[in-house]
Amino acid sequence: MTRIRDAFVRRNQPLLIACTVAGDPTPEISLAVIRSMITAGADMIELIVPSTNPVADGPVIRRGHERAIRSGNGIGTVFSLIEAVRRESEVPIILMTYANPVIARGEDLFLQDAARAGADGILVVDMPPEEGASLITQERLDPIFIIAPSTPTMRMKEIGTLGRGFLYLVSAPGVTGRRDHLPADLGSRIETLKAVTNLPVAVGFGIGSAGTAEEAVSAGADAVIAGSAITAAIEASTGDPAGDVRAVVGSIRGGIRPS
Amino acid sequence: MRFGPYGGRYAPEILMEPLRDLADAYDAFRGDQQAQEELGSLLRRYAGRATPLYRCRNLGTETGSIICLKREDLLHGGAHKINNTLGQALLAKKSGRRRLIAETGAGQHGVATAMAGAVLGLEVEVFMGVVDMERQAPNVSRMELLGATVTPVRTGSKTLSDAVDEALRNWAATADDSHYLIGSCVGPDPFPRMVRDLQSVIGTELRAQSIAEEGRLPDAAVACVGGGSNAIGTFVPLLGDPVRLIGAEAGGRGLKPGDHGASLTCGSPGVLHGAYSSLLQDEEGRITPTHSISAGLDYPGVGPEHALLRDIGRAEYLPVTDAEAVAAFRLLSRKEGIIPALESAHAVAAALRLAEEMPEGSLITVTLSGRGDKDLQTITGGGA
Repeated sequence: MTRIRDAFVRRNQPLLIACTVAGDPTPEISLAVIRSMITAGADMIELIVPSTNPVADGPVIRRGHERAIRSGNGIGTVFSLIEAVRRESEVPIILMTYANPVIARGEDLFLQDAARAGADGILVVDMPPEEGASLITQERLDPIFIIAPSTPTMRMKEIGTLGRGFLYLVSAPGVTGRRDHLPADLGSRIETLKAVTNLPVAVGFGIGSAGTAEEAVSAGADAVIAGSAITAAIEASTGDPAGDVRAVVGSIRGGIRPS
Repeated sequence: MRFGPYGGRYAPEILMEPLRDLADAYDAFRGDQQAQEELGSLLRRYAGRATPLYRCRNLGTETGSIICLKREDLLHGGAHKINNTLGQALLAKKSGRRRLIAETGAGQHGVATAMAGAVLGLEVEVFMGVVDMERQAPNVSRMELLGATVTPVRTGSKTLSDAVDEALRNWAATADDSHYLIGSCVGPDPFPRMVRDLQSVIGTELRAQSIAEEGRLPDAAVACVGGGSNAIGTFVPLLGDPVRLIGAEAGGRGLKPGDHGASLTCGSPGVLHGAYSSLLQDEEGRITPTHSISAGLDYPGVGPEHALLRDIGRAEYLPVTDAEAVAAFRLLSRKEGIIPALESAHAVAAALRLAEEMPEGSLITVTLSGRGDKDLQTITGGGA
């Protein structure tokens, strides 16, 4: 559970959090993709639980959900991927999911099983703090909460006291997906958020290139989160998805800490 | 706000502030006498309220029961949906929004939103699954004629549930100037209670008309349940009365998974589209495909208040098959000269079943939520 905090404490450069839908398009390729993300310099892995109704996701990640669901992947795939990664790496793993798979398993059991598999944090997209008592009161996993462009400052402060690990700042209104540029007010929003919380701030939504990653870092992000670009690389791959993902992650990483 | 354990606000953070704003705006709207009078006037002079409670001359008479139809099909647009859309569109206008977003299954809610947007001067974008666009083609033309943009949804099963996903995504990006005009008593709080309140005009009128014209309360009130808005609007004003409340769900081709939309009869608790309710899902919480001959009932969830009414035994929910609904559709057309929507035909079929079982002289009301012109192609093109 301290892996996430340690990663931020140890860092002397911004971190890269790389996301993929578990089992997209198959568990085997998914594991190879995660390994590639790590070797290409991802500091944390965000593993997405396949969902039939991913309401916060844009078209690219939505198709990732559909591919994973179509090949029959569910929570079993997610937990075994976490176990497999944990056997070979100490990389922090954040589980990202919609509420229904958590509720279907039973909230406590889900968290217990996720922690046992080796996950460090959990982000439930449609379980804001008001509905997330089971996330807040447990000690096994760091609950990661989202701060949106519409979140007022007072609420940022409250959420900052309930989350652990880091806060996930959504760069712009809407759903996941790459953008050419991040909004101009990102810097002031990060500043506002940092004034009311001590948690590190990771920026997601819209980051899919070295350029946008660099923009987020210059705006003050402690970490950047990339998902759609990785899923798009899997989708477009003609033979070596893991290799293609390695190239994409390497390129984004170049935007935040040139090697 | 919850209905027992059901409901809640399971929404992405980006929607939490818009939802809180909406809840505040709705509370103000309810207390705003001028706004309420404006809504009342629109319902009367634009939509055509009050609708009659018609006592069937022929349907069900052989059973010895009396069947009365609450004629929501006579409203402007041909369905109860306008009760909700006029209310929410007026609320949106009063709270400074310039644009309405809606999802639609059968197309009725999309049409009703397009009408409300046109009359109140609001831009309208309707999300609709491509499967539904095909089976409800005339409604697509109507929406476009009324000035709405119809955006096809090609993800998932390409039906109502996917259209809701897409509308929510769009709202997440446009909440500053847009109102999400949800079409049923589903979604995160405050939507279920707001839609219930706006549709309660059905039950309130029905109750008064039953007393005035039949001299008594009904013994049973029947309505179809997809998301459940016409049913909740029928039931809530009767909750305190000794009236059986019956919801007719989509029994489809039978109760095997994937063959129906009976989320109260066959569902289990879970979260879909922002609320904790009864859902058709597998053991890992993946939503399972649904089927109904009527697009409006082809939905894997249901309004959270219905889940509570089921649990406490205050309302009963019966699955009605495609074939029964089609038979009732034809029967009502022949016997009474009224062509019901296929959704409403489910309620008619359930009422006919009740008429057989209940004691002679029982008074049964059926909320005829819409008219069936939109379904002629489905019926004549092969039916169930």
